[in-house]
Amino acid sequence: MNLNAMKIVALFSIAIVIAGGLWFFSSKRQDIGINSSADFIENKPIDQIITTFAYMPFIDYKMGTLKREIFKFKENKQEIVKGICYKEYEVGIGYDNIGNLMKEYMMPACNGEYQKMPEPEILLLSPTTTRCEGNYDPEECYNWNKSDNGNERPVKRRLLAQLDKDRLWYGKTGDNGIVQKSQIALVDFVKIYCNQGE
Amino acid sequence: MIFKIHFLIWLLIFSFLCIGCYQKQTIENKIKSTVIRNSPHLAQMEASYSLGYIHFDSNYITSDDFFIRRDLARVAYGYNLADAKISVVEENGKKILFVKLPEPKYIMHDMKTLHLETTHKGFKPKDKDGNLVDIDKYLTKRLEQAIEKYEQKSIDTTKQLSKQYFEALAFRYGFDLNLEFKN
Repeated sequence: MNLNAMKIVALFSIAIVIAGGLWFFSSKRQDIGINSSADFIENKPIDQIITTFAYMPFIDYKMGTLKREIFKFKENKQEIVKGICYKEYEVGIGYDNIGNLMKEYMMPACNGEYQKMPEPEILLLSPTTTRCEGNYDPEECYNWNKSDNGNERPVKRRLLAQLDKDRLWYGKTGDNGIVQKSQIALVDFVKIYCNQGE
Repeated sequence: MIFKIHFLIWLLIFSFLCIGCYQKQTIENKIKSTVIRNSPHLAQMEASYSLGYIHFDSNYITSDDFFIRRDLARVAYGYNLADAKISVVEENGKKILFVKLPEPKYIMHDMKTLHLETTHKGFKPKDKDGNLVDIDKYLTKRLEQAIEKYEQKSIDTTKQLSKQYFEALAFRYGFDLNLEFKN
């Protein structure tokens, strides 16, 4: 092989090595992505996600004694509904502080373990209509969510209990509930920031 | 010799172009496969509408009568993610993730009675004129009104979740996002 031919082979090899090196370096870089989960937590491009919308009533009762039992002299008189407070709410369910959740649940999310994600919360709550029937004070019904000492009464907890009772929260066999669907949605968000297997 | 050096320079340029094209393809395919694999859940949302009928008759001699019934409608909204168009384009030195998604729409709903409670089984509520109340008709009508009233809000919630997902994806790669919903 003469000198010129060797030069050409050498240059050609160098060109291949440079191209290969550049390809390897840049493909590794794009595997990792430009911004990490730490950048997401710091910059908060997204802070809150709403995974489900529900429109639902809140029902509170006033209980009282059956009229026919008023004159009976016994301690455990039968109680019955004497008044009803009925309110309807627009409810948004999802997750707040996605960055913090990403920090805490990155590992199980990257493994696809949605069951290990936290349960979603009621993030938006807006009352629409109120009705009261029977022996229920209308003012008390309208202001049910405000207690005497100014603290919020547990409307959210009551609505969550209602969703659970209606088998919407955890679902039932063959029917995914709000919790599972929300946990999967959260995993999908967090998974974007996994370092591998994206 | 000069000819051969030119050849090598062109070879290098060609290699860089190939790498560029390959990277664009790779990153686009990577994003597409991530989206298709992860997002079916994000492309759909189920809203639930639960409404009640309450009635109370105050009787002076016999016991008071009450009637409470609650019905539920579950409605699915969404779009087919397979119809999404995703591309990465470089404009003025800035990479932009272009995403075109189908407009989410109503898919289906079902209704059922969740709760029925009354003073006694045979009690049938009457309106103020003394006519029997058709509770099935009342609740079905109210649920349909609620579905209609909140349809846009539910569709907007579905869109918002998808938009946020793509925002998180674009931020990951340092891209700007250009997303639109269009049928």
